[in-house]
Amino acid sequence: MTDAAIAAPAAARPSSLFRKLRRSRFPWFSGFVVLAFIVMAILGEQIAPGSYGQMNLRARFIPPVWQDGGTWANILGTDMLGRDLLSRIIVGARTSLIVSVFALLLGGGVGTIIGLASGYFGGRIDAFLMRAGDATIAFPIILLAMLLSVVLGPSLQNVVISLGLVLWARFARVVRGEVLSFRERDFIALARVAGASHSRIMFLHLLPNVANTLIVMLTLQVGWVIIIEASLSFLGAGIPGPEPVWGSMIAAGRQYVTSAWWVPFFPGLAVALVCLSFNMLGDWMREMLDPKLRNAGD
Amino acid sequence: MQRYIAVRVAQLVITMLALSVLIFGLVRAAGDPAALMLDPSSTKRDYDLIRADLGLDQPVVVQYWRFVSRAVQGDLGLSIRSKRPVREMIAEALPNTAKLALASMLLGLAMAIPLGVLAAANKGTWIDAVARYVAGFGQSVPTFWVGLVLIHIFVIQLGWLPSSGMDSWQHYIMPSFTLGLFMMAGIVRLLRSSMLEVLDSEFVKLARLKGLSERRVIWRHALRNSLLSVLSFGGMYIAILMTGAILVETVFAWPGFGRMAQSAILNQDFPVIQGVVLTGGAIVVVMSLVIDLLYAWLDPRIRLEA
Repeated sequence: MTDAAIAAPAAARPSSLFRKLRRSRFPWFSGFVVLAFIVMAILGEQIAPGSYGQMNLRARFIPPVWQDGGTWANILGTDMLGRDLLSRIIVGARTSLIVSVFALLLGGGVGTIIGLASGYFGGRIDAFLMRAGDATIAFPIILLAMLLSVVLGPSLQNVVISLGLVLWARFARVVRGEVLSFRERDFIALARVAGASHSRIMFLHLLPNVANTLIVMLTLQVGWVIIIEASLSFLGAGIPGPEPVWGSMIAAGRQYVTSAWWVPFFPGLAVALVCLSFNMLGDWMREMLDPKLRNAGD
Repeated sequence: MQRYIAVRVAQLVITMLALSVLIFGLVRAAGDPAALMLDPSSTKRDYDLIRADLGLDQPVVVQYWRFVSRAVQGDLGLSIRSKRPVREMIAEALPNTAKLALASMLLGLAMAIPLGVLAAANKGTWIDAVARYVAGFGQSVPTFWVGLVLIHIFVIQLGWLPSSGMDSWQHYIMPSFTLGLFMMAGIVRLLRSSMLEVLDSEFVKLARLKGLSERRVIWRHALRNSLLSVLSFGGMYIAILMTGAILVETVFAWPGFGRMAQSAILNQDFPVIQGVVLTGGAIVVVMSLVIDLLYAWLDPRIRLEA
């Protein structure tokens, strides 16, 4: 009887985790959109039904296939230069993915290191870094990105730098909060006693403990990065051509909204869907991996 | 409280100094600022005049001091495109942006407060789910695209509303709704989570024990306290509002600050952009300070702290 009482909770553990996984309802639609986005970004031209760059002035403004005058050759229609809209959207995913990866590597990397140091050392370093972080978070980066684009010329690097300038503070704040909760724990004290260096403690003992949080943060920030990148491209301060970019496609199609609504509509829909899906996926991961982290993405 | 104000004002000054160093450094790093200020039709004489005017023969520290002291006095230079003083252009555009921002803020709050409160009060029900989806949607959809879709529906299909300008109250409907939607999304999430926290607190339990109606507990006691914690994020919302205004003004051809910035980007009008970034930065920083002080004043825990 005693044996059964002890065994029961041990046996309950794996099954309760399994139940939790089942109950949390994976957002299938979002997962599919995110997967499609990544496949589109990597394969691009290879899976596009037509050419993204070939102009055909006689085939300008062909409407989507379900409207009068639409053709199966251009399922989502053509733009003002007769280019296939669907192919341009598929190839345009690449720019969004590249910007997201680099901006998150830069901002997330720097932010994580600063967050680790800030939480671990505490004191004045912490106070200074966190004040600096607050100041950057409260500053509209779109202004900074506009300045960069006029002074240095619009380019992918400038967009990545502008995004990184804000992202570091978001990551630093969350990582620091996590580190503070671990700092006084026994395993950190033991590592100190064993003679581990500061950097060893930060990267080998603290970093693995914030990994879950980081994964959730990264997912939740992708949507934000894609929206800001599209906004900058829309304003003309983003990534210059000739490759298709979703934000620039919306900007270029804007003036035709009266006659050919599909030209700005579909690239915008792509931005919205991808962004929404990353956010839903991030929310799901947050519930799964780290219920404490309710406000990490806000 | 006095000490708190002093610290926050010091932070404001440091932020603005950092911003000015950043702008100054960027411009110098990019190459010859005199060349940036020239337009294609300029002559060598224009170039020399601009160099002398900018004091480029002086040491860097002196140059920085000139830049800052001129900016503080409101001298932001001349637009390359229109040859008008940047200060004058900003003074014309800013009130229009302020009107749009105010209308959007009110509309955003009018949408966010009922949604956030109802979501928290009915946690886990379909009302909560709807509120979360609406908020998620508002955060994920690009503002400028929402604007274009609205133009397509209400201007082109239905012909109900004007698409651009700001001549009548009808002109305010679409821009302020678009910007308000953007604001609403973040506020709903914040309000919902702080309402949940407050509804679980001791004083709400006491209010319920005293026999107050649930409606009174939620809308009077809990909402007040939750709004306070929403206010503590006010600075962030000013920054979001500024970003949103730039995009929304571009879509609806609203004659404000943001549209001025956008046309300056297209024309590579460097002095205008510099002025916009400095002024925009200053507005955001000062507004955040005002909101923080308001928050501190409303919250006795901070107000009464020595």
